[in-house]
Amino acid sequence: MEVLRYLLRESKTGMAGLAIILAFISMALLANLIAPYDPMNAVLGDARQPPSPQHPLGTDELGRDLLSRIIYGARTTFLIAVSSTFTAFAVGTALGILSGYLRGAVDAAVNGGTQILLSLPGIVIAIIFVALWGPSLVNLIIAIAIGFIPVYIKLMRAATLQVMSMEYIQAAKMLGLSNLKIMVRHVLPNVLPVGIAQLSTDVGFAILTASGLGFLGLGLDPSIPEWGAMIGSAKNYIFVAPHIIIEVGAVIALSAIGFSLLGNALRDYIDPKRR
Amino acid sequence: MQEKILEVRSLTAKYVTRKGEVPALRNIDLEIYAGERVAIVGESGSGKTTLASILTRLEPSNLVIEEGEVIFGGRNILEAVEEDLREFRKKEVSVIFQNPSESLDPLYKVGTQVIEALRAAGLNGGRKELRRVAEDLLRKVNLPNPSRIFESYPHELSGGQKQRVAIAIAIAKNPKLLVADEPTTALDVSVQTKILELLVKINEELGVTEVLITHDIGIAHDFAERIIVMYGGKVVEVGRTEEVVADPLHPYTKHLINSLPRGGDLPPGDSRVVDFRIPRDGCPFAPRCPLASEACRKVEPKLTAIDGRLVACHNLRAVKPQSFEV
Amino acid sequence: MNLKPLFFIGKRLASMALIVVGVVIILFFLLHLAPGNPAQILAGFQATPEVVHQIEVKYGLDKPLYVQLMTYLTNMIRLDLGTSIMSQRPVTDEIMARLPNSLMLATVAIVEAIAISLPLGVLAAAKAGSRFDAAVTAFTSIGVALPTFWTGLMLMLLFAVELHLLPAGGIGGPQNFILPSITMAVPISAPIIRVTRNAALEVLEKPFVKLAIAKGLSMREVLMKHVLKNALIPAVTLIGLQFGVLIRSAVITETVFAWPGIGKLLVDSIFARDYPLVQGTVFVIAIIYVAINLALDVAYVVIDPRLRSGVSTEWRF
Repeated sequence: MEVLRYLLRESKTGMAGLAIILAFISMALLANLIAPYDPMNAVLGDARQPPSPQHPLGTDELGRDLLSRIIYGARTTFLIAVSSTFTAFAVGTALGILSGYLRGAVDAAVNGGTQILLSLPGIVIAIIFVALWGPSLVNLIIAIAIGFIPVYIKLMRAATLQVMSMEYIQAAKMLGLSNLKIMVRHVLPNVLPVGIAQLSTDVGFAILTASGLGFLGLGLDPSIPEWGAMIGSAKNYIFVAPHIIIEVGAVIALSAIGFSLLGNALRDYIDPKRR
Repeated sequence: MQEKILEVRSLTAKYVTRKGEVPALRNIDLEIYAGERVAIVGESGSGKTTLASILTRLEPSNLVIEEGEVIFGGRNILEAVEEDLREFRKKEVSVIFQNPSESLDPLYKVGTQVIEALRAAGLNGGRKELRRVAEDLLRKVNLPNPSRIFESYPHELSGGQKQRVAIAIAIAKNPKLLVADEPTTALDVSVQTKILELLVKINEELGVTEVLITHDIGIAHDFAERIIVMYGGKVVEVGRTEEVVADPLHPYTKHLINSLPRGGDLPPGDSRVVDFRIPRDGCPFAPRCPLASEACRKVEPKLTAIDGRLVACHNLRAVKPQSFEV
Repeated sequence: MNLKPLFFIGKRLASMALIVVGVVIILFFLLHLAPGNPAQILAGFQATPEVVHQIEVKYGLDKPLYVQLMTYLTNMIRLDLGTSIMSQRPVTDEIMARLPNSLMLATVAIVEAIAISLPLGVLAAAKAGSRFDAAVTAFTSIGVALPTFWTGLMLMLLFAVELHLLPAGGIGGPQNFILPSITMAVPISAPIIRVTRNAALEVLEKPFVKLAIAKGLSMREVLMKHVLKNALIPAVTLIGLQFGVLIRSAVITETVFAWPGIGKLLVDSIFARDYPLVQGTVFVIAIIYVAINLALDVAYVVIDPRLRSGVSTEWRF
């Protein structure tokens, strides 16, 4: 709650980010109430219409109402982005804490793995994975998650090393608490805030990666309303019906901006030096 | 009387922070004479460092000068535009900071930084000629093997050596005024004395007017001909060093002197606890003063001339005849 | 003679070689454990089992996986990356034909990003709290969040389709660089500005900056000579960490602007199931990563003399 107070008082941009995110989330939750049309309803005669009173954002290449597809698309897109970042967050946090806490051989192995993952950029892994395993929802989530893991390992490892120098960790060790207990009870709560700021930024990045994959033709099945997939099927009409890409791209940008603004504000909150 | 080189008139300033405004200087009046060595003494929070930063116009951006003038060379430097300020900095005034490890840029060789100062001061010439001048400067501040020092990076020198380099940079422009803010605080005791001796030598040989800012009245005594004591953003006592030290008039000065060798017996005012918001009215020292009366808490004492000195205290008559024990 | 630097360089090279081998192994499994028989895919689904078998033999796909891996690794050491299935040309040739295009585009983009970000970050710090600062800070949040394909397409629609000022894509003269390099520079520059601004804010508080002002230097000299250089180390570190973003923007930018580089080659080869080419392209990307990090190590030492006296052998993370 103190975070909210900070955002309200000190960070207009952070509040703006939070407002954008909340707007998108409510849009996703209330999709069936606010969407004017069925997002699946194709009327081929109305294909690629520019914005009009009937279709405020125009129609897509199959004559489906673009506004409705964008509203419903928020559901799938946010599901992909949030699941993939949380997966990466969980895996990266576990490995980062283990590596920072145990040091030694585990640390060296995790370090090596991180270096390898860093030199194998997320988009490359995602392209290969989705192309070979097929663009299912789960594959998309895993593919995007892998690319984020090294960031969390590094962040959490550094944070753990810092926490390890604190007296209460030594005290907990003296008490004979098991390593697992110390890691879960004493290290984890202290390193989490660092990860959460990163999490906000990365949900935005995940939306970008998903839409990038969509653009490359590696999105979900185009019948499903999902922003990346919409980009993928609309890009061939960029010169005929530019409004589809312009609008969907703007929506993707706006949502990612929301997460990026909030993430930066949270980072400043955690590190008062930067305030 | 000697020629005034600098004159501060009713200078009042405050810091503006997120949490509100903090008064920093209250109605400061003082004069610095050409060629003298003067020390401004006070604990942290007394405003001495703020004052020093204004004298060199290097004050932090959140300091607001509410009122007053600082006259240097016949002009109010508080009203000077950027261009005039640069002229003032290039030729007339120099500054030395507390922490020598941070006052040199870690990424450039010492020589480069000395030459930068020489160039800024208007010295033209090739690198070879400037290097000779720079090495002369390094020799002047008693650095052994100037050509080695010239080629060194700051991290390769000791604290004392770095402070000598900082002094060399300060005198590169042949300044009229040198303001040294706690120049020895970060150094070993043995080095402290040598740096002070160097500053005295520079004053005597080059005739540079020197203002030393210190929390240590002992250092002020070793260095200065005149002492200005500050407390709570105010000047509380001004006088010749021997007189002030031998016979302090203001209770705060007395406290400083008493706490010198054997520890004071005033309530040990922790400067972090004492903040200016407490004595907005009256004498800032009143909350800690054993002689404080109702008048002290209500009416701010003015700096008054007495026996060739200036003191701001209501209890002077009480103080003077029967010297009180604090 | 001091052998420490040599030791350091040797150790660094060895660990980097390990990274590249690790990448190759992971990639190998990623490709070979994927569902579907690659030989069948290559031959087409109407192909007879004999044809499929011929292809398996031709590409060594009939051998056990570990034998295939060992063969690949040994060939890799000899810089033999195999033959492209699409073009039947050596993978090395295919890559070398595209690599310079990518390197040129990326270099132009990075130079643009740095040339804009460093001064902007330092200026924003020098004017902290001003409107200019607020605008720059807002850009740092927005810049990273713009989808690269979208920035690219918007620039293309505006400057190529509407205004006919610049070519819409392909490779050619210097004017072909403008739109793709700007597209790539946007997501790289935003974080550099942010880091530079924060670092510069800290540097501005240092006494040596005040001393530089006290010398009578102009604000420009102070910012450029002292603040910028001291804020450079965090910015340089970030450029290394931005590798993933760089490759992502390269892949997408090259696709948007039909730029014949290795990003587009990777996408094309993946769709064609041209495994040798995919593997070779990713191998080259890993080498570039390693090379960038080595270059940054040199950059640190060039920038900061303190690093020259005691060479750190620790893994820099």
